[in-house]
Amino acid sequence: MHTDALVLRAQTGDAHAQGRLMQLWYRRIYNFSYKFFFDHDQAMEATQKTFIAMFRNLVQLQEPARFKSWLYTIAVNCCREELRKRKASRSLSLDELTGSEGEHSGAWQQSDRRHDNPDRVLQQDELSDLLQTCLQELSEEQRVVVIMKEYEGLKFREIAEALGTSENTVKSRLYYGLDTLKKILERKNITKATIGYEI
Amino acid sequence: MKYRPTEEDWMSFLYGECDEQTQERMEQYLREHPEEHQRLRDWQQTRRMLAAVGDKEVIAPSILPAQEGSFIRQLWQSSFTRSAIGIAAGLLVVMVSARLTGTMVNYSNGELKISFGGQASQPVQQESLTARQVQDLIDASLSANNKVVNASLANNREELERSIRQNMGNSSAKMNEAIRTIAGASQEQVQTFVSSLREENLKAMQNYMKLTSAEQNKYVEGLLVDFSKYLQEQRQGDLRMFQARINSVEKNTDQIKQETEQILAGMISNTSGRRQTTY
Repeated sequence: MHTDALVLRAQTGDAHAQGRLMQLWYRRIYNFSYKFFFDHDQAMEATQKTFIAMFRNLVQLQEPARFKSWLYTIAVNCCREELRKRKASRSLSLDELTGSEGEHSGAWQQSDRRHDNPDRVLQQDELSDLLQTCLQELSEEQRVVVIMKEYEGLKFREIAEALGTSENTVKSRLYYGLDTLKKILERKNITKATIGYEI
Repeated sequence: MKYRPTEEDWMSFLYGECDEQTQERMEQYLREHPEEHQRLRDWQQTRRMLAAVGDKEVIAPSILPAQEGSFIRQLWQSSFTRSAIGIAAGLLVVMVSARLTGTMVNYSNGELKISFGGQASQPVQQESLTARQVQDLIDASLSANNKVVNASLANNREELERSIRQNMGNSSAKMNEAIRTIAGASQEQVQTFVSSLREENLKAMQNYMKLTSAEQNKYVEGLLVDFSKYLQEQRQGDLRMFQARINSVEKNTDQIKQETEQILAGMISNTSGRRQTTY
């Protein structure tokens, strides 16, 4: 069923439609949050808060067509709130101490990657971690825009709506974000040749 | 005027989201400035590297959210409804507690009166007494009290005197009866009574002496037995001591005898040795 129709049904209090909406968007919001924090626990926290806020305020959404940008607005706000909490508490998550998700996690068990070549999986994980570390070096504004554009596939208009700013501002942030990323990658000597990974 | 793409134009062109006019301008610009292709290639290279970061697998919770959108729930959850219900509940508690405690609130003549447990009674304003009236009241009360006390004392005194007289009468009657009995007894009766008293005393003395002599005999016998036992033990002890002394003397004698023999043997051996040397 189309997202717009689901949103309309969910706004009337249809629990099934609400559950379906969450199933559809949970993975996207989690991955957005994960790339924002590069931390599973904080990403889970922000994702759950995002969906709680979504269900609480869904009735107030006037245009179902803008659901995607509206949902990302909530997600960005939840991520920023979680970031403030992390800065205030100065705590370490388990992921920071023990590394990211292991092979014993439920997500791994459901993943198709467990059937891949272990060497290749390890290589991809290392590259992924390296690149996400680079992402964390961007400013928060640039990081949000880069993640929304590169990984969430949002259009400039949708990003501008989600962030409540102009399209030109979004493009400008992306311009400098990509430039900064290029410099970070060069500084860390992360290139196609050095990582031996076929891009 | 020469066209120079802005940051926004570059990004729109990179992501294919620019309008036709900007697209044409950008393409024209790149044809005229082939060195700017490198900038595009760098961004594309960065984007390709970023694409290597895949999605994390995550399991969406299967719980179904509550029906947040229902009108009744929203009504109950609105702050206005909650405030109104809170005020109503507070008033209800006040009314019930006022009913249970019998609280009355009256406002009349500019006075607010709050009473618990029923209608507040109006205090009676009384006229105050003068010092003289108070003194008269005290005196009257004291005189009445004195009269009652005096009457009670006189009554008690009469009862006490009557009781003493009655007791004294009873005692004197008993004494007179005893005196009459003694006076009526004859001389023979008195002698019989005295002789019987003597006999009883004699018997008591005899019994006492018998008992005393028997106990003394028993005590002396016990004493003799204990003394003989003591003597026997003393004798046996002395005998043991004598025996030990005799044994000791015998032992010493034997020892001296042996030593003497050894000395003599030594002297004999020395003497025989000298004779052999002389020869």
